[in-house]
Amino acid sequence: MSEYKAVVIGGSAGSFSLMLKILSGIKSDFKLPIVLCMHRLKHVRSGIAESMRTKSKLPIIEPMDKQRIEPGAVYLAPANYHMFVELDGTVSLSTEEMNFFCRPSIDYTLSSCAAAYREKLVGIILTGANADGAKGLKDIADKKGYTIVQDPATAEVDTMPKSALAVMTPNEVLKPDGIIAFLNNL
Amino acid sequence: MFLAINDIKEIAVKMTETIGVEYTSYRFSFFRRRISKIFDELHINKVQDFYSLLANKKSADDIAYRMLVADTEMFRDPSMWRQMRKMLIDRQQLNVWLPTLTNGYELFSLLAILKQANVKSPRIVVNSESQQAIDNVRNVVIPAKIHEVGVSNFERLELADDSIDNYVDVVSDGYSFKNSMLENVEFRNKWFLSEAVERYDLIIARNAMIYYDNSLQERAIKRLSESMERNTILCIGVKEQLLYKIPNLNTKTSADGLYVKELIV
Repeated sequence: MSEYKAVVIGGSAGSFSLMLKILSGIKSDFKLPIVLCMHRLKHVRSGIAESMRTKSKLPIIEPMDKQRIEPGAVYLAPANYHMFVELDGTVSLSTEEMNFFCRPSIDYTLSSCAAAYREKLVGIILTGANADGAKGLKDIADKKGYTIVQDPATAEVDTMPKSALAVMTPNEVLKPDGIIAFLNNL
Repeated sequence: MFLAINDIKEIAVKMTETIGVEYTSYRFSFFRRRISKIFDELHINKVQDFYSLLANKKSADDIAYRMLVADTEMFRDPSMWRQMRKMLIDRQQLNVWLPTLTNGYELFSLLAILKQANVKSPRIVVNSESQQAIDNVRNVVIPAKIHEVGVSNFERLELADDSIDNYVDVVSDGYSFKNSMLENVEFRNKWFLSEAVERYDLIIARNAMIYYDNSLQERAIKRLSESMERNTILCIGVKEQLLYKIPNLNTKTSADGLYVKELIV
């Protein structure tokens, strides 16, 4: 049984195809919830989850506010809402001010997961074009969660992984295949 | 400044007593974020200084205003407005309630849709716990960048014979709403849950109740349902749940997942 209770992943520019690759590579009996926060166009509400569903063996859910997080499912932050995970294991959505001009904000999702799951959390930062997510990943590390940054050399846009590496030292820097292998070994 | 949990809880109690909004029943994580933001914005370093502000009526209203989440745009979720317009075409004597005003964007989007749907002489009641939020409706300047989002959303309404320019004026530093559109609007500086029950044909309360805890959200929806009668349309945020089961509610979910509720008795 895994020592972890959840996985949270953040990514921006270039991360969509990588997310699809990761989701398609995760085993169907994966037991943990996966919380995904991707920068996305706010007026495009459909398409991303649907595409993910064609690749993922796990159910892809764009949660409603106050929906409970369940094991073995993927929770994708909805367009134009920040997504937080609460201490009681439910999702709270918000239209609060943007962070790094982004809503959803990766920092907000990661930091809330850090508070909710503490050392029982795996946090992963993927490719992306700004520094959103760096603080969130540091919060996970500060709570003794396990942190992974995509190897910037493999990132389509390396700003986000490099920004994370500038503020913290992750447990691992991995290529995409390494991230998939890590998750399947949890 | 760092605020301890007990400080935050005490602040919520005092704000509830002073402002008349049940902040003690807001989701704690949201309330903490919001209060921390207000402390930063107002450069407050001591809780006692915050209480001093709260004791002043104008400052208390400013705090109520800052608690509101007003980061929105004209015609947010345009497909919802498109669908609503179709439902309202040529309706007469429409009673409309916006119980959770934060700024003018939602109100003026509604007023434009009512005009577009050819609704004659609607009566519109708008509630906000903040007088500043109400005052700002007439004076707000829409920054050009936010206006661009409104223009883009308006195009998605698919109204070939209309333009968002018909609803705004150009001012020196952006755009402003046409205040002439407000002639049928009644503003009330009161939290909607303290209002006496009146009946409405259309109620729009989007993305305000997501900041409440389950209990308050349930009560809020129950309260809104008391203002509904036959064929009332209730519009809540696309990602909000109806935690209170409204009797005889016909739940229609539009193709893009927006909720528009219609009561059939």
